[in-house]
Amino acid sequence: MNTFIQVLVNGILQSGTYMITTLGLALAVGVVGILNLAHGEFLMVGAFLSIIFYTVFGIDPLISILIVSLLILLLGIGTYKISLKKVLDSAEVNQLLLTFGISIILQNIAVLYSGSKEVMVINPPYRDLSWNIEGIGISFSKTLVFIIALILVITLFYILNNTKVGKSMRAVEQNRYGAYIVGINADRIFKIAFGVSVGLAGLAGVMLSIILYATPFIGFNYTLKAFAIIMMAGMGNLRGILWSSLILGIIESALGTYVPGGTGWSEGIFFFIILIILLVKPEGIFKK
Amino acid sequence: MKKKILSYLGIFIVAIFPLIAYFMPGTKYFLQVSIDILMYTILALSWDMLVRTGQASFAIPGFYGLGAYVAAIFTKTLGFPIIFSIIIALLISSIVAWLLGYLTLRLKGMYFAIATLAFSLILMTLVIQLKDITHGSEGISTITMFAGNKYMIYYLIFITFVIVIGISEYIQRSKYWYSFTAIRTNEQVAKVMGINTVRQKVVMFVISAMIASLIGTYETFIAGFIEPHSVFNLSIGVMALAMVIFGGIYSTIGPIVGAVILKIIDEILSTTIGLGYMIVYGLIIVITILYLPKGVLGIWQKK
Amino acid sequence: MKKFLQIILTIIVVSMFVSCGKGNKIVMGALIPLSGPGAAVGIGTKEGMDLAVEEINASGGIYGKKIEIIYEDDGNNPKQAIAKVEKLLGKDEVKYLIGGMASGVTIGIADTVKNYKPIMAWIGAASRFAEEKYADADWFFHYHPWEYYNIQSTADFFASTGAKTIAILFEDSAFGSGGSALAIPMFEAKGFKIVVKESFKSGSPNFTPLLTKVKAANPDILYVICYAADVIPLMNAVKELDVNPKLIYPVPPAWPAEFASMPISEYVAQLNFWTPDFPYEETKKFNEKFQKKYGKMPVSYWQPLGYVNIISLAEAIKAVEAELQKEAGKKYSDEEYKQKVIQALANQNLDTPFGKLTFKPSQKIKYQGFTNWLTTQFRKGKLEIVFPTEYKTADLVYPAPKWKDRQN
Repeated sequence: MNTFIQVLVNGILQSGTYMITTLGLALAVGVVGILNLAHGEFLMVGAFLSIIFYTVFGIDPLISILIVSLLILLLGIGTYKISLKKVLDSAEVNQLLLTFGISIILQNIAVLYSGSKEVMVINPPYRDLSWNIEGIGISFSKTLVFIIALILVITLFYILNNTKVGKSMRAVEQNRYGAYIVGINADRIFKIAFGVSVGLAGLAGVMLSIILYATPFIGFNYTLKAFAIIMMAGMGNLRGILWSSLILGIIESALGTYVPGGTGWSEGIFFFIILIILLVKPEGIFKK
Repeated sequence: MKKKILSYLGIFIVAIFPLIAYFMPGTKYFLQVSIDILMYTILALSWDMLVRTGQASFAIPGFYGLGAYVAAIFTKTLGFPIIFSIIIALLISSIVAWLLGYLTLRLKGMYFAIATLAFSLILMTLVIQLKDITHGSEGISTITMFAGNKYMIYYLIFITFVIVIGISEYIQRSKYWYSFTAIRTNEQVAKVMGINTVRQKVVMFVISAMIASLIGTYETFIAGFIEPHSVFNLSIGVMALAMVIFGGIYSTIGPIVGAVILKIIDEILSTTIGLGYMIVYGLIIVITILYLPKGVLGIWQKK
Repeated sequence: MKKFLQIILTIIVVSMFVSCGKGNKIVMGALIPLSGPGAAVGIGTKEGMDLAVEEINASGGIYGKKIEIIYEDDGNNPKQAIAKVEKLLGKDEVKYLIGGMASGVTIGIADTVKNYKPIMAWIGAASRFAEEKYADADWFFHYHPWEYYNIQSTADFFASTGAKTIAILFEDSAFGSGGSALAIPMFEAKGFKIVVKESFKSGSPNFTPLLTKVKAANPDILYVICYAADVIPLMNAVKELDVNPKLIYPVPPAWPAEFASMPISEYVAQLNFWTPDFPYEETKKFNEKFQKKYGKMPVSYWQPLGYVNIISLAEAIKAVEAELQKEAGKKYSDEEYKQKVIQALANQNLDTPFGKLTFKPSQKIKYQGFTNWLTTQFRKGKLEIVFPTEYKTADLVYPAPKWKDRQN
C-alpha cells in the first residue's frame, strides 16, 4: 500500500514538470498558432540564467525567477520583432526553419559558455529538502514546481477566457484578418503571446535548475514532449494539458516501479499513448 | 529549354565528380563528403515529395533507422547477402509505411507530425530494448559494401539520386501534381473532384518511407556499424525539413539546392571555425529565411 | 542582397578546395567532439592538448620543430567522423591521429583508418567491440582503459566490502548498456545477487519510480552507470525517498564540480580513473600548470588525458629525432620513421598525472596504456582513496549511515 501511494505521489510530482514545461508552448502553438521549435532552448537559457544569478550574484532562484522570466520575455519580444514577425506572413513551415535556426544559435552559445563543464548545477538550501510522512517521501522543490505549474495553468486559463487580451488571442488564432477588421491589433497580440510564451519557458527553466540541472542540450527533449502533450490535449486546450500531464506522469511512475525493465520503455510508452490517443481521437482527448 | 540544359549539366557534373576529385589531394575526403551530401539530398527530396500532399512527416528518422537495422540484422545475424538484406528492408518498410499511413494520414498538420514523431521514437525504444535481436544501444557491427570502395559507393548513391529525381519530376509533371496540390490546399474540394485522397497520400507516404529506409540501409553498409542513437537521430528528420525549406519547398531542385548548400556550409564552417561554428550555421539559416521566404531558389525565381 | 548572397555562396564553394601548406613542423590530427552532447568532453580534451602543445613549443619544440594540431569535430557521429578522418589522413596527410571519445565513432572509423595505418594515439573508447576492431592493428596505442578493467576493479572492490546484494541502474546508451552487460555476469560469478537491474534515459531523468523499486528490494550496494548530469538528481531522489543501501556507487565518467560541496555527496563512493587529488608529483604539477593557463581547476579526466596524449607522443617523436641528431646526414624513410616512433612508444615509461604510463598487451590489442582504477569515497567534500589498499588515504565507511541518522 505504501509503495502504491509513493507511486502516485511520484507520478503527480512528475506531472508538474510536464505541465510547467508545456504551458508556454501551448500558448504559442495552441492559442495563437506559432510553431516554436526553440521553446526548449528558451527554457535552457532560463535555467542557465538562474544558475548564473545564483553563482555570480548570489541571488536565490526563487527570487531571480521574476527577473529571469522577464528577461526571457524581453528576449522573446526582441526575437519576435527582428525575426518571427517577418515570417508570419509566409508559409507555416518557415516558422519551423526560423525557430530551428534560433535553437541552434542558442544551444551553441550555451556550449561556448559552459566549455568543458558537462553540467551546471546549483544547490540552494531547499534543494534536497523533503518530507517523510508515514514512509512516503515528498520532495519540497518538486512540490513547489507542481504548485506553481497548477497556479499558472489556472491563471492562464482565466486570462484567456475572461480578459480582453485573452479573447483577442483566441480571435487572432481563429481568423487573423477578421480579428484585424474588428479592431484587434494582431501584431501586438502575437508579440504579447509569443513574449509570454517564451517567458513561461524561461520560468520553467528556472524551476528545472532547482530540481535538475542545466546543459546546453536539455531543451530539445522538452520541446518534443511539450508538442506531444499539446497534441494529446488538443490544440488550445489548457485544461487538457493538466489532465494529460497527470495521466502521463502517473503511468510513467507506475511503469517504472511495477514493471521489470519498465523505465527503459517509458519514453516508448509515453509516445505510444500519444499515438493511440491521436488515432482514436484525432482532435485530442480533451477537446470540448 | 535553358532550365533543362542546366539541370542535365548539373547531373553530368555530379556524375563525373569522382573523376575530377581523383586529381585533387584528399580525393576520398571529397568523395566521402559528397556521399553524405547526396544522401541528404535524397532524404530531403523524399520529405518534399510527401509534403506536396500537405503532410509534414516526422517519420524519416524512424524509417531511416528501420532500414538500417533490418539490413544490419539480416546480414549480420542471418548471413544474407547485402543486396537481399536491402530488398527485405525495403519490403518491411513499405509494409510498415502502408499500415502507418492508413492509420495516421487522416490526421492533419501538427497532429500528423506528432503521430509520426511518436512512431520514430517508439521504434527507437524497441530497438534499444529488444537486445536479443538488435544488440541494443551497443550497436551492430556488420560488413561494408564494395569492401569500402568509395567510388563504387558514390556511384550507387548517384544512381539512387537520379532515380529519385526521376520519381520527383514524374510527380511534378504528371496529373499527380494537380491532385497533390488540390489535396494540399483543400482536401474537401479534392474529394469532391473525385480524387481518392487517402490512397494517393498513402502511396506517396510509402514511396517516401522506402526512400528514407533505403538511405538507412546505405548508412549501415558505408560505416559497417550502426547504433540506435545515431540512426534514429531526430536531427536527421529535422535536417531534411530544414534543407527543403532552405532550398525551396514543393519542387525537385529546391531540396537539392538546400541540401547541397547546407551540407557544404556545415563542412566548411566546421573545418575552418571549429569550436562554435554552429552559431554561424544557425545565423545563416535565420538570415536566409528572413530575406528569402521562398528559400534560396527565391533568388532566381523572383526576377 | 541577392548579389551579396550569390557572392558569399561562390566564396564558400571556392574556399572548400583550398588547402593549407605546412613547413618544418610536426602536425597531428585530433578527432574530438566539439558540437552536440559530447562537446564538453571534447572541449576539455582540447584544453589539455593546447596546454601540452604550448608547453612543448615554448621550450623550442622538438629539436626546433613546432607541434601543430588540426582539430576536427566528429560530432559524436560515426558517419561524420569517417569524413573527418578522410580529411585528416587523406587531405591534410597527418601522420598522427590523436584524440577520440565515443566507442561508436572509434568502431565506425576503423575500416577507414586501416587504409592509412597512421600512428593512432587514441584516448577514447572503452567498449570491447572497439577493442575487437583494432585487434590486429600494431599502430594503435590505446590510453583509456577498456571497460572490463573498470568492471573487474569494481567487482574486486565490492567483494572486499562483504556486500551480498547489488542493484544496478544503467543509462540506456552504449556506455551504460555495455557496462552493465559486462558487469552483471562478472558480479554473479563473484557470488553477488543482482536484485534490481534497470535502464533509464540519461538527460531526462526521473529517478523516483526506479528508486521506489530499489527501496523495496533493499540492496547492499546501489551501483549506477550514468553521466555527470544524472548524479545530483539521482542523489536528491535517493534522499527524498529515504533509500538506504549500505553503499551508493555511481560511476559517471566525470563529476559535476559542485557535487563535492553538497551534503548529499557524503559517503558516496565511486570508481575513478583520475582525480585532481591523486597523490603523484605529476598530478600536482599538472594542476598548477592547468590552473595557470585557464584560471580554473581541471574538472574531468579528459583534460589531463588530452595533455598526456600529446606529451607521450611528443616524447616518442623526440626519441627518434634524437637518433637523427646524433648522426648528421642520417635519414629515415617515412615508413622507417613511423616504425621508430612506434618502437619508442612501445618502450615508453613516462610519469604522468595518472601515474606511470607504459604500453602492454590487453585482451586483444598489443599496446594498452592505462589500466588502473581507484575506488574513492566522498568525505567532507574531499575524495579519499579507499581501494586498492596500497593507495589508500582513508578507510572506507561501510555501511554508510542511514539518512535519518545524519546531521543534515
